[in-house]
Amino acid sequence: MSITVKNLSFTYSRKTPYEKAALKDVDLVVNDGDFVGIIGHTGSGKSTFLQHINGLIRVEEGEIEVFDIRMTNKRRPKVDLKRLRSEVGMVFQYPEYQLFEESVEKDIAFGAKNLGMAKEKISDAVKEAMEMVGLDYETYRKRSPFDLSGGEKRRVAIAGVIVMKPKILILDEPTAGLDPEGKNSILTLITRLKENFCPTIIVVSHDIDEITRYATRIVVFDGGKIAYDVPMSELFEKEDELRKMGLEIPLAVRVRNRLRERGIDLGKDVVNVETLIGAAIKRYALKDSKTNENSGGPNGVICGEVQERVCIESDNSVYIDAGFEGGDGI
Amino acid sequence: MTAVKLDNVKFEYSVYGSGANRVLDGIDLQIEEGEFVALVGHNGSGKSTLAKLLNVLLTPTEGKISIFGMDTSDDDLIFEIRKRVGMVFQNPDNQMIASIVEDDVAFGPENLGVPRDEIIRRVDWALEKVGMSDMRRSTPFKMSGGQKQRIAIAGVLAIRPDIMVLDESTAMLDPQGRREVLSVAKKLNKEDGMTVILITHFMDEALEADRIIVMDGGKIAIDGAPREVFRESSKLKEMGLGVPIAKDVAERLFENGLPIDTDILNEEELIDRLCQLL
Repeated sequence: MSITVKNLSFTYSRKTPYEKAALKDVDLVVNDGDFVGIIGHTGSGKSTFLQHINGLIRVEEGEIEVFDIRMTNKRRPKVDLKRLRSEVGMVFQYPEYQLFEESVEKDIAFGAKNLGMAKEKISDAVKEAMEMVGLDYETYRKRSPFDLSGGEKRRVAIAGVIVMKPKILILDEPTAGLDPEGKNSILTLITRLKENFCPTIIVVSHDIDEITRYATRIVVFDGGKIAYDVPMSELFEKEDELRKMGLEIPLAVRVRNRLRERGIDLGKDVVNVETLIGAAIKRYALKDSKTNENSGGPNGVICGEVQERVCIESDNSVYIDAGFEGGDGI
Repeated sequence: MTAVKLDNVKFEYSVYGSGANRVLDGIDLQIEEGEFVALVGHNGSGKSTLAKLLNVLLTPTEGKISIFGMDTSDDDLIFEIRKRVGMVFQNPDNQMIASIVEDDVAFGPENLGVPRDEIIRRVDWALEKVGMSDMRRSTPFKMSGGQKQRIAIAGVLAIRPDIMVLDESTAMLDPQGRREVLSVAKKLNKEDGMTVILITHFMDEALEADRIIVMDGGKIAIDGAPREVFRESSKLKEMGLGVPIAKDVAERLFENGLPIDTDILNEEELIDRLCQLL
């Protein structure tokens, strides 16, 4: 178990008129090797939660265990924050705003130095981290981080976190503000990091289509609590509930649900574009073979008979559709 | 009337020590009054530079830009042009200058020396347009990103521009905030006939426009209606851009041998096609 959180509660500005409960009795277990996607509306408590795991907020109520590091509201024994932060790397939103050193190399080394990495190890670690994020060491080490493109800056910022080889990596909106290519390359990078560097990954994202492609598990925050922590196939059965929380549904699930209303069931495992495509291909192949059996036609040839079919629109209006292949209707 | 006209516009940034860096390389473009145009392109393709040229934050190195017939290189016309072209930027926090919403919206017309009564009318109208009238006496600092961007839009509206340029104004917002800003932009275009130029990285947002201009390497690579533009999906991918998700799904189904028509744009069309097919 990487992270165990029990009954965690937290209130901002306690005992003032601005008192606001941010977390209420949160329980969560993150296993080694999990790729967790955290979603939730602005103000749902996800950032407060993540800051706890990295020791940026002191535990007020409840307890957290990260590997063998235990955090409670007791001041003693002292939490070894340096070790905690070497184990749990945190990449904040727009991390490139935090770059400050005069060269890429120095910027990446800063965290390692602060967390007490031995001097002679630092340059090797920096080199490794840069290679991991896809920045050539010799080309980039002396360059100013401010002369780089947005995507490159973000890579430098991520390198500055993974230089400690954290076993858990937390990323808050890692693709926000990037162009499509920048997004893809950061997502590929995260996948690569998971395979080779940081086995456990937690990503906060507002882009539900994106997060469902990469995460193996989705945790939904709402009103300071964990609203759902169930397999994705189950989660997206709750379209109405998620919408009420102000959350988006992946396009693939919306398409699946609308098709289901029209009598075409692609199954509950459709959670992202990949699974939608898989299910559609499978269903089409099945139907195709049935059509061919019925008509006795050769494999793959659509028989000429045009059949009229009834489709029900989402607003319940009905239209007649002259399909180009003989189907078994809906 | 022609709102924006660019004739062979080139723009170069001078980089210390390494000469000039050409960002725009011969742009010819005409945008008519009342159009809703999306401007897309990867980082560094020149979109933001183009936007800055429109309200004379920059002037072209070569070529000519005219806004409603006014030449942007004419120093005497700068302020007139800036009144006509409103800009909303990416980061909502960088665009708030007052601690109360209505003061923030009034800032523009105050600077232009608009009489008090008229300012009040304009602020009322602008806040109404972006749906923030109830918040006029609140502070913007505790609001959501979408609300802040709507206030920024109201601040621009109070100057009464004819052209609104949104330079990645939705990039930092959550899905709900993005929807809010986009629907305000659409409403201004449809109801008030405002010319809207929307710069975005989200292809599903660009779909909402009547016309999409794709920039690549400082040139206009594709210019047309959304359906025409997204027909060139392989070209878009080469330029580091994507296509709307629904279209991507259709294309990948087609590649896998399903006889699906890939010439679709949105979810509804995808659902209809799949309904026929499956």
